[in-house]
Amino acid sequence: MSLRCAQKLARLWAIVAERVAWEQPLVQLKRMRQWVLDAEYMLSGRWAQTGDVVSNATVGERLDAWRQELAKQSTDGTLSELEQACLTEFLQILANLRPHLVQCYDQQDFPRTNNELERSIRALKMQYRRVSGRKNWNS
Amino acid sequence: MFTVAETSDLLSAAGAPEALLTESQFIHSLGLGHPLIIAELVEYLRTQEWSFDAQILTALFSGEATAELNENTVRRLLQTVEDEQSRNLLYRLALMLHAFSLDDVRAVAEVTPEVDRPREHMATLQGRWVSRDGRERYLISPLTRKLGGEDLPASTRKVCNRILGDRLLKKGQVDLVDVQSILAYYLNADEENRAGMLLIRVLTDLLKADNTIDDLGILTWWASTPLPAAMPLGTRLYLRGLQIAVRQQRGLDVALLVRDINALSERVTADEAWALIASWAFVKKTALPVKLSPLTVFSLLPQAHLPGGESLMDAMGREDMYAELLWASVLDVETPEQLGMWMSALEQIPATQRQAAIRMSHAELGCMLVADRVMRQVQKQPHAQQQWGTAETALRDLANRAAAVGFDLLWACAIRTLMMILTEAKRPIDQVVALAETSLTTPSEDPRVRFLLLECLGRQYLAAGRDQDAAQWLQRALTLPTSAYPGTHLHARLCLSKAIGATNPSEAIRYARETVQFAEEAPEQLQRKVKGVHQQLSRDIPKASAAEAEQLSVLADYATGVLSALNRDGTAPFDFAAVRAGEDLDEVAQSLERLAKKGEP
Repeated sequence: MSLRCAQKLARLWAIVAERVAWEQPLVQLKRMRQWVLDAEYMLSGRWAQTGDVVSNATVGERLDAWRQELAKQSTDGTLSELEQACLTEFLQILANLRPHLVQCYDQQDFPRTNNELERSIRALKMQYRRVSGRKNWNS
Repeated sequence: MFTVAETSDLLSAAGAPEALLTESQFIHSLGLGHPLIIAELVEYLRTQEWSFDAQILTALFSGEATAELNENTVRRLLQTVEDEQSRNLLYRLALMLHAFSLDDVRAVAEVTPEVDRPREHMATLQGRWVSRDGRERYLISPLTRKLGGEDLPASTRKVCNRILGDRLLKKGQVDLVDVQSILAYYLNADEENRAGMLLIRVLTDLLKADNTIDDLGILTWWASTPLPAAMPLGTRLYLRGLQIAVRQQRGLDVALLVRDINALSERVTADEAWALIASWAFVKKTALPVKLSPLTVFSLLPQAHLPGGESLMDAMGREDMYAELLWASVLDVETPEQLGMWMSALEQIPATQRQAAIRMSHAELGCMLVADRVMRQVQKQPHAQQQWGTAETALRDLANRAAAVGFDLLWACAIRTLMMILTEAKRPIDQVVALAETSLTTPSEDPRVRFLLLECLGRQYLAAGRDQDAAQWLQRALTLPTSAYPGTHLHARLCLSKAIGATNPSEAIRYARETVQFAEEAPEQLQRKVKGVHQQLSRDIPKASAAEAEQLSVLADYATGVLSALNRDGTAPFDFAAVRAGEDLDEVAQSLERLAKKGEP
């Protein structure tokens, strides 16, 4: 490796090493992201083994138990101030949305999310943009 | 009354398919639990061969499905209540959405044309048409309620509804269920403004309340439909602002509301200026694309008033709102006319409020932004269309008016922009120098004022190729005791480095280093550092040997990778940009470590 390459490599490495300043906030962020992922896992029904029933009752039961566990965590002093505040907010939003989130499982063929609809609208919008040449769908 | 299970049994007995039995709850609610209405609904569905599509739903909701039942009810009413006064009273009672007292009965009976002796008539109606709920209150039969007040004259119906809404509102403590009944009464009474104002009061309370409090559906009122056209524009605008704030606080969709408020704001006149300010106060922190222009408010201010009649100017002065609104409106300025409007706003506000605006922390940046915005707009035009003359007139006017109200910093910013405009308009440098020198003779105790003038003149000298003069003025600017305008300081240092580069290279390097150090203390330094390395690599590659160029290209790719990680945005759902960036940088760091150990890229 030439001297110039070695210098540039060392410089790049030094710059990338500056990310350690974010290490702690990132660990926190990952921990908090896990709450969202756990909620999604619970609502998706992917936890169900063969023979398990995915219904409003079973999903609601799991979700409520998990929320109670998180609520305990928010007060047991294991979390930082920021995480506590975020968790409280997260639990509050979950409590507000709970009736709407645990709603679809007893209706056969009723989709859990409107992702399919969003996708079809997106495809339609893209097609419209291609045809009309307009960037803004609403104009 | 029927239960849901009995409704289901009735459907089943009539031969309804299994799938329709799941709608028993819906049919039960629609029939208000009354056996006759439910039976009528089931019969209607049977005649429609149990289809349950949009057309049928419309018929069910519109009452078309129970039209025959209504006719039967009226027939039965005529047979059983022969007295016209009693029937008239019953039609009025059919408007009731809740259990009611004898006082409520008297109140609706007093509406012209008056029904005499309501208590006596109540005795006739009790049993089949009106029942007691056991607590000195009455309930109207669902059959009668189904009739509504259609047989009443429109004026009587409206007054009755308004009185019922008012009485419920005055009962003392009103809960969210009562509020929805009152809203329905007011809308039936064509009192859209009252309904809007009531919802405003409720939403204001909800905004301050804990998010966990159940809104019981109050947030769905007009959330997906337009507000009634008969509701005054000011009320609609205020209401939309509040709805956006409350719904966003609770994580609910606000897209339609944003579109609606933007459309409403385009029609604002002096009568609605108060509502525009109120809405702006609600949405300013939401970062939504809401186009409420505070500058519009200032243009309407002399004629504007609150709904109660008080002058809006007085109200704003009392609430200390001028300063904040003035600086917020800077972003609305794009043309010379708008700049003039903004300056008029500054002039027309009371002196104490103006002083508060001058002392505000936003003032420093606000002055520079407002002075620069017209120039920036002209710069965006193609060269042939650039109207520098108009911009010059606008900035001279701004400088004069700022000086007249004693706002030194704004005056300095205007002169600074004027100097840049003269250079852009290819005027001789002497004109710029004359302007700067005259301005510098104006006494000011504020070091920021002298800094802005000196550094700008220095830069204009540099642009004219008079490096020595440039260096002299820039050095004077940088020795002033102020750290205001850090970006401008950065630019001045860099210009000074260029100006002295030919005659004093070592000093030029010192200023360039200072600039780098200054920049590194600013945010987003990591991106800047990587960009710097990337640029150096791109410059070195063409000059390097083939083998070294290959190695440098690999490192340039790494730099691009680091930049991509740092600029990561628009991730998929459940993905987080910061986490992904952290993970990507970990990978890059490990790979770089392997490279260093291996000894070649």
